[in-house]
Amino acid sequence: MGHRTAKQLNIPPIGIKRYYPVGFIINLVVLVAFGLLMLFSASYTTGYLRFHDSYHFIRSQLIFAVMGLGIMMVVAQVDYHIYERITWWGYLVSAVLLCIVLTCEPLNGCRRWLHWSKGPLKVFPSIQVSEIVKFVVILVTAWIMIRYRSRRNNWFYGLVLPVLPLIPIIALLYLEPHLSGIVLMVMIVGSMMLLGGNAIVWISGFSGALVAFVFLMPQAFHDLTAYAGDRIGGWTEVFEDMLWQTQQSLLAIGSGGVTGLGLGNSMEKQLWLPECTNDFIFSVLCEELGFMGAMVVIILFVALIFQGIYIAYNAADLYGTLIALGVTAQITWQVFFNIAVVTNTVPNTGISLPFFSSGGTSLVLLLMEMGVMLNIARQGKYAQLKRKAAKEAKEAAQQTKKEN
Amino acid sequence: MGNPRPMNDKRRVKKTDARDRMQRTLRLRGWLLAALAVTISFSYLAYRLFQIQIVKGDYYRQLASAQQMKDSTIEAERGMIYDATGKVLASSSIVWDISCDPKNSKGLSVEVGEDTGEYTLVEGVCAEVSASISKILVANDGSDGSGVDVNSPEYTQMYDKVYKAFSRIDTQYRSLATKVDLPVSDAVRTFVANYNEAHKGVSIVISITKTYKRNYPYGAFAAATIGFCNADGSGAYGLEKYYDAALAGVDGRSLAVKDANGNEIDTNNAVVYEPQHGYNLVSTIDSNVQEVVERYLTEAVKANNVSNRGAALVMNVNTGAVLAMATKPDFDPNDPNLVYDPEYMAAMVQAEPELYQAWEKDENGKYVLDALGNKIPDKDYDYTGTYREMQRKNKVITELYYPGSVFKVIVAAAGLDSGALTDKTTFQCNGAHTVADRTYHCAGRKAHGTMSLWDALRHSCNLYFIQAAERMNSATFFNYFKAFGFTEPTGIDLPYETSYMQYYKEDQLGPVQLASSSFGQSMKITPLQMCTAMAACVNGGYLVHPYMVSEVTDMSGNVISKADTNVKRQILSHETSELLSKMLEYEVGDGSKSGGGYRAYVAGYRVGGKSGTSEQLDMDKRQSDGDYKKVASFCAMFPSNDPEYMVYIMLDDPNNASSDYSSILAAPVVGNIISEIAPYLGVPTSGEDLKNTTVKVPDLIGQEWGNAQVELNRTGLKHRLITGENDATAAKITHQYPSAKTEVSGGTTVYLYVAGAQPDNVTVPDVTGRTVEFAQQMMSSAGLNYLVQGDSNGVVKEQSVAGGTAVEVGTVVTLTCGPPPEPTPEPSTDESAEPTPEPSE
Repeated sequence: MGHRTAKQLNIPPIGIKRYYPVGFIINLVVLVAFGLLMLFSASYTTGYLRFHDSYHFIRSQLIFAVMGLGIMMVVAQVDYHIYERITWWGYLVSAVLLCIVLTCEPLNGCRRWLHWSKGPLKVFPSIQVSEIVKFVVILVTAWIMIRYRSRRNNWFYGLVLPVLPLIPIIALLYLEPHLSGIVLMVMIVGSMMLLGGNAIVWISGFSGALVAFVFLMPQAFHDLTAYAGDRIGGWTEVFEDMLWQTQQSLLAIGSGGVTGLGLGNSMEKQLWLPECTNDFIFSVLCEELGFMGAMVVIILFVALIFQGIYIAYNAADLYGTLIALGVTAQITWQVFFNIAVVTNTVPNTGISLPFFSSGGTSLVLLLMEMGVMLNIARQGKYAQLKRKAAKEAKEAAQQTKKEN
Repeated sequence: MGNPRPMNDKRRVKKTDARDRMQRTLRLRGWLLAALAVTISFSYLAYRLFQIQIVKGDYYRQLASAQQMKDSTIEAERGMIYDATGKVLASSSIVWDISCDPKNSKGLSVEVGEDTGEYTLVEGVCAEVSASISKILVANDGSDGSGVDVNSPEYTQMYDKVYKAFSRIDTQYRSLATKVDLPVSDAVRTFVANYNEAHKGVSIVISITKTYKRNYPYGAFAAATIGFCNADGSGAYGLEKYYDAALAGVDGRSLAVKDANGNEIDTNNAVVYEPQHGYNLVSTIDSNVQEVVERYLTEAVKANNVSNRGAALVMNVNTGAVLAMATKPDFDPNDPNLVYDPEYMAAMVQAEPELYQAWEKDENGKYVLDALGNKIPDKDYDYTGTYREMQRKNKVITELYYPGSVFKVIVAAAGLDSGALTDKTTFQCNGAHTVADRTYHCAGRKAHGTMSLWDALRHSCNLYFIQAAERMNSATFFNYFKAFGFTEPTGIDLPYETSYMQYYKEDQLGPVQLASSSFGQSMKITPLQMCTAMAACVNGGYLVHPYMVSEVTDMSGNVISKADTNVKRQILSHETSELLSKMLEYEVGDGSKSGGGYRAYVAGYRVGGKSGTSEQLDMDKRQSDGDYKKVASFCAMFPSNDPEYMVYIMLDDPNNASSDYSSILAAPVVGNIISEIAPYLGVPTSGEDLKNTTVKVPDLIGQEWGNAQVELNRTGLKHRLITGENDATAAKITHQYPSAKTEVSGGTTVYLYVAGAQPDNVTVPDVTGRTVEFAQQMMSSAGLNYLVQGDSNGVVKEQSVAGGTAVEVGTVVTLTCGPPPEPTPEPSTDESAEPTPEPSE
């Protein structure tokens, strides 16, 4: 039997308005709104003291959020298969951008941002290239996994090949240096390979190596870069020996108690907690909203992640599944690492909290990825309905046949 | 697959497209792995949060509030010290401490390399900022200090200090300047603000905090009595120390939350405990009396080359209130660390090297000896610290001395009161008296012959009092000694009053000891003890508790506590006391040279007193003549018919070439002091109206002015010293007016000129038609003497020198007075009431 068209199956085609995962969108919007509210609370003191403008952080973040949501709605309309075709162009552009960024003036001792603080383009916001690269890495991994799908249990095609394009990226990130970006990308690629069903035996070994890597990092990196060495070497359970940032984070979280000090009442954001608008915004949240507020945010993220996984497994095809998996993995790992860092569960690595931490590139890219997720979800839903309709039609036909 | 499936099922699996198979695999592995992993890991994070927020929440909350709490002290304002007339002796003013925070100053330091966490000083910025701030601080007038000489040592010193402070980039607090005035702190604040504005990326952090500075408006005035404060503002000496708790008040506290830079966060939760400002003291010191006392004491110390300072006290004998207490030379409490008179202090150390351990030592710590085996005074040692200690000491209460003959009054009192003596008791003085193995003599080895107690006191006969003490026996002597308070501190409200008096106890008082004690040469006591004992001799026999502070008041003037006369005990009967007063008056006499203390006499007042020249038996002998060092003291009280005030003076180790006797060295000082303070204090006069007497002005040219004034005191004339630009110490009179032998009425002021002073001319005011009282005031304020003739209740009819004439200061203008004119009709009254007619138009 030949495929019938949607029209024949009586399912409306994907239009601008159809098949949106409503729960996912609500969840996302609540998180973004929550994130903006917390950022405003956490940043107005720092903004005032550093820039004489309480709205310094929230203003740009709000603009980026609106921009990002717009981009998300547009991207939600774009068939995600288009990314398969531009994957390697994206890879090339990423590599070039990562090279360019190394020539830029360092900010906070790192060359992570493309910025124009001295030129005539300084009105434009700076761009954190690694945020773009994360998405490109997801695309590249998906591309390879699809291309060599049939040989996925071969150690070379299943394990080595998908990792190969990552190596130059890691090398460039290492030069920035951006260790947390490297860790995150390795985790994303690993998750995609693991959940994508690639060479399960090999992947297990890879995972083992990864665990070893995580635990050996303190020693391994201590001599390599003073920056990471300082952060990782200072990881301890003894409060007095902790890094200042970690101490302050724990003081903030601990001060929150069950219900918190109330929104806007954080004391630690009064310059005590460094990076309280960025990597440590969750500490301020814990301080102001307490254990309850923290749980609400964790549940919101877990719900989003579960829905992401649901979208991945209901994607119309494997490519959609892999892309959705990659994006969900990115969010999962970022949230996990961020909260783990602020609670002193893992060494301080400097990973931002999605939708909460200040940072334009990150927010826009995340929302764009959410747009991709929406498109995957819509196409998945459409395909699901199509399959269901086809099945029903088939069963109806069989019923008719039996009856006949 | 353990579970065998039907064949048709297997076939169907094979037929299903790749997507479906893939999805099934993924569902199996993916859901399990992903959901499990996400759930477990996020549950673990939730558990961590639970641990931190709920289990250990209190711990972190405590740590956080300890860190965020800003506990700052609000300094209480120190109370003021007033004198008895309401003048401010010590006050506090608001000043500012300036400090910098090099660590948090942006642009002052740069990181070495990238992410090393090590910083290095930006020397250019540091030098620039330090230079400008140093200039402001050196200029100290609120200007930007552009006129400051950058090569001056003050500037280089200041610059080094400021640069050093800023260069400590690892610290958050470095002091730049303390206790500067508001304009200076404002100038620094403005400079830093402008500098930060002008230099991008530079943000120098300074902090300016309010504090208090202690001011003593009169400088080196009653310094040892008022005392001074430590750098931290707490009392260190004198009243400042004794009343520190009352003066200091209670500092307030402010508990607020702060940000990481230490800045207070404006919340409603700040708790402020307001400071309780210190109480004010109203001292019994009368700065007018104190000024007179210090002026004459300083002169006496200088004129007589007094090596170990002089001390003086004016006290109300009935209440124990101290009107003046001075040690000279002293120090400036505004800068107590400054050695006020280094030469004098150096001489003190050299005069008594044993006392100050000032012997030269070699590198092994052994004394260097001269050819005769004597130790050599060390001239190179830095005695600055010793000098400071010395100049701060209040001699009246901290140093012991042999009271000498003044003590004979106490022996007389004990003898009279115990009944061992009467005033008529006579003893024989033949020039020498042997007790056990020791032979005693009178001063100058005189033989006074047989005499009563009256004359024994007047001649200060040692042998009389040795015999009197013998008759009294040592038990009685010691009982009175103790009763007079010589074995205990007086308990005055000043710190560091010594309690290490040296004396023979009753069982140690053998015949020799008793004999030496009887004329004040065996006990060492404080001048204040001598004074309170002398007060008891004349005030009816009561030992009073001396005090310096009459009232403690709060900031609004409410009296917190009030000192009252505190009689410790009655020692003598009223009769004995009255008799002693008379004997002391007999000693001073009536100004004729018959009394031993005649130089303390001031005509018109009844003055009693006793002189004492003691030998410092326990000290090195003086180098000039090999004799013992002396202490010349004199204790006077007036009016002696009902003594009210005591003036005491002691000169420790005077080196006057002509005499050692206190009647020559100390009595004139007392006389001069009384001549100025008795009229001021409104002491009852002797009743004799000096104005009605006519006196010949003595010839004073060529005399030391102090002695010249004594001459005038004795003859009933007033004195006014006019000093020129030269050193007036012991200066001789170069000119006097009215001139010698002029006949003037008693009470006329004689103008004395010393030290290059030249007489001035004044214009005589026209006082005709004025009341006599008004005319007298006009004349006095113009610097003229007057002689009133005729009806002193009337008006001036005529004046001997016409109004408008220029005459020499001190000229006597005779005012001829008559009855006031009959009241005249109204229009003419207006004209006549006008002293100077309106210039006609």
